Amino acid sequence: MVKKGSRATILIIEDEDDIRTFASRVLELEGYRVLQAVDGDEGLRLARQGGIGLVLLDLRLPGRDGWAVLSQMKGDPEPSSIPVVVFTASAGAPQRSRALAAGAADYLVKPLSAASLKKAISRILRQKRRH
Amino acid sequence: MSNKAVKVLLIEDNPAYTRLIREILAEAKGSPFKLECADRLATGLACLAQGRIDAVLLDLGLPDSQGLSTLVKVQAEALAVPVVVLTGLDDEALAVEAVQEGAQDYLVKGQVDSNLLKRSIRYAIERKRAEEKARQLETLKELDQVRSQLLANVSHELRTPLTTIKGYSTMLLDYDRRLGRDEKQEYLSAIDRATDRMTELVDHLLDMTRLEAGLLKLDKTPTNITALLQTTIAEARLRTPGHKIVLKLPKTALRLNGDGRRIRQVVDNLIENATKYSKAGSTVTIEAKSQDSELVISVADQGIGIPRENLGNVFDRMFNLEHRLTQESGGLGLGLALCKGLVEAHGGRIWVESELGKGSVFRLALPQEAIAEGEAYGEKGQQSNNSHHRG
Repeated sequence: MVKKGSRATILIIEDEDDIRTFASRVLELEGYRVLQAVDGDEGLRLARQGGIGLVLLDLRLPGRDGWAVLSQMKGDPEPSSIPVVVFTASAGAPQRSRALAAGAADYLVKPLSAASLKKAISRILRQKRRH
Repeated sequence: MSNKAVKVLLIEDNPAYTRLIREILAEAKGSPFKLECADRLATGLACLAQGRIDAVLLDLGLPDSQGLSTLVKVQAEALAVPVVVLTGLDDEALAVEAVQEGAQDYLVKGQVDSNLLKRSIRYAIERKRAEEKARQLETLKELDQVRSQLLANVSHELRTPLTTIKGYSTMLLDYDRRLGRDEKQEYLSAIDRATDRMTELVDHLLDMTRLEAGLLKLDKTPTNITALLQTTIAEARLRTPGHKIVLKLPKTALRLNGDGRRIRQVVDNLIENATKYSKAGSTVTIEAKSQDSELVISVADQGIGIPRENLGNVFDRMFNLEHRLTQESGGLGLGLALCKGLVEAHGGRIWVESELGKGSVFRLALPQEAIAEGEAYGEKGQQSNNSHHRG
């Protein structure tokens, strides 16, 4: 059932066990390789190891939060080319604008169905390949 | 303004000036002004304490108080009463300062005539009324902000368990044939837990609303606190196996006339905080004892502690709301405010001691009303005898 071209590695940074398991399992079932981190520091460490095709990032994390991870990855001097998709329970429009301005590739508001998550991820990865 | 009498309190130590003011205000027949006089600040404050004063004429230099502090003391006694400051010719700067401090107007002695004095009193009353209105509006705005903040937090906190429910249920539907039996059971259990979490959130919100409206009713019965704590701790150990949870109890059973369910809610909340803010493997110690006709329960952790500047605010709902969204931890920030409300509803108190990096100790003291011998203790199935299972 593994689809061609979908073998990218996705790093999920999420502290809620159930949500991390949900996202990981859906993406694995869709044929992606999945790495998991439970906080911002571990997430950044894994992102820097290389080989990551996309980061799915929660904003409220223990220690270094999602905003800090986003600005570390997308900030100067060498912004990372890895697309970062925010996956958050903060539904506010100002937060969305702020995240997109900070370089997020998309802003997904929780809750999300398995199908919507799958579609959003594959769309961002297609965009990335076109560039 | 209505035609009813305007009660003016003159606080002035110069008898000649008092006479002058009295004459001015009484000169017209059917004058709406009724004057009360005090020649010392203490006498004036006593008069204010009785209420019913519409405006104060205040000399700042009195035998028992001088300068701006005179005004401050008057405001402390009666914040809602307008003040017109009386000042000497050479002291106009001080009078202006007084107005900046909140006096509504000032008059220079020796330049006061009938019309000016009456106009000034009227003006002070109306200005104070306008200030009160502005202040109320400001309070309403603040309340509105708190409400939006609460709404944003509620939304965030409900979305987290909703994500589990939506995610796992759609996954179970879409990938049914590719998921193993155990895996499916695991996801269904997670959905079950998420609905519990949502229920708890809704209950907390309702409890807080009831507490604030004074509608929360305690179901007080003779309760065996020893048995209650043993059950609570046994369940907490199951929930957070990573922490070492220690229970210290005296040999004789602790008893209290109280709402067992609510006391348990408070202790549960404190233990949950203790484990949330400390590393796995560390110890959380719960201790209960009788002390000066109070039952004192403490929950101590070895966690991150609370910054000194926040110690006074942790039980404050507003404070927690404002700080919650920037914090890493979840929750509505209502937990401790709710604990405080529930403890105070029992006539008790709750407080915290903490040191950054070392940990926090939350303590609650509940009054131990006398319980007659032979009354039934505890919930069904719990024994008042605690000679076994002490942790």
